[in-house]
Amino acid sequence: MHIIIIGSSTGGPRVLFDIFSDFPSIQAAIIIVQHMPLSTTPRFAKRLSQICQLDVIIPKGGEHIKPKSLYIAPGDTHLILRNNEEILLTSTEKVNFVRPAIDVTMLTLTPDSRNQYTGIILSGMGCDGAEGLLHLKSLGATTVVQNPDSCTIKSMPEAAIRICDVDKIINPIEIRSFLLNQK
Amino acid sequence: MDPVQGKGMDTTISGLMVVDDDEDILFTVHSLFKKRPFPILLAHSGQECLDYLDNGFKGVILMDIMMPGMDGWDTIQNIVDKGQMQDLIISMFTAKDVPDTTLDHLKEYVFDYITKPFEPENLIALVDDYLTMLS
Repeated sequence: MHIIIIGSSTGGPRVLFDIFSDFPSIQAAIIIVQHMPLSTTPRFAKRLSQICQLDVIIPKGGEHIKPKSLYIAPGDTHLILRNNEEILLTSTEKVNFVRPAIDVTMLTLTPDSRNQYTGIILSGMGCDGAEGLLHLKSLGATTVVQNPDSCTIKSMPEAAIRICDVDKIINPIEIRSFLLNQK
Repeated sequence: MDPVQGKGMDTTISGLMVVDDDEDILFTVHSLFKKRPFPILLAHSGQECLDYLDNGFKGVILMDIMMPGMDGWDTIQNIVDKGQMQDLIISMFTAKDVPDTTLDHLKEYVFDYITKPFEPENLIALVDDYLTMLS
């Protein structure tokens, strides 16, 4: 299965709405880790479900990820993948000042010949996601970062670019095209 | 300018609150949205914002950062501490280009960061998008 993890923070939601507007169902499981409070999660998920054809899911824990689905990490919990397939939610310490943290989700993935991985970092404050993206790169993932010049807040993508030799530094419209071409 | 005032406001529908000590900004944003069918509150300070929230405001908040007394980040910290984030989407609304990284701990409460000067069409589109989320 193709697992795509998208990390996003301040300024990222508007990019995600652009990327997933009229977005068709694709053969990948997409996980969005958006820094947000718990109360915002259902509203954010509802908005995405209104604009795309993917099955938008707020996991409760225990779900096995499936293609054609878009999972939203709930606010105030970290989302991890056990055996690269089962979603677990934890309320352990904040990482990089946030929960959910992008790094936590990305760092749980392990080498797995059954899977293909992609990591994407969008606009945001701080450095969350940089280590996670580096880890995904070490697993052979395709790594993508939103062009900092197109970001509302540049520091998160810049942190990723600083420590990881990313494969693509592209604008939101190109991220959308990239995702549309994924199997 | 005839903004809906905090007391007696309709708390059943989501509105827009602009928090800024610059009267020109408040006037401009109010002009952009005054014909819209949702409440518009104009707060001149962080404290006024908190007062509106105590009176039941819910919706989108455009929050200036640099204000006398309680700045935008302090105001958000107060909102979080009082457990009033429910039913709110907050965007910073500021001329300050790069946020202070020492405020990383508040980033999960800030959905967006809109810089001034702004394109009216873009601001309207964003506010509409966020109000749709809250509806």
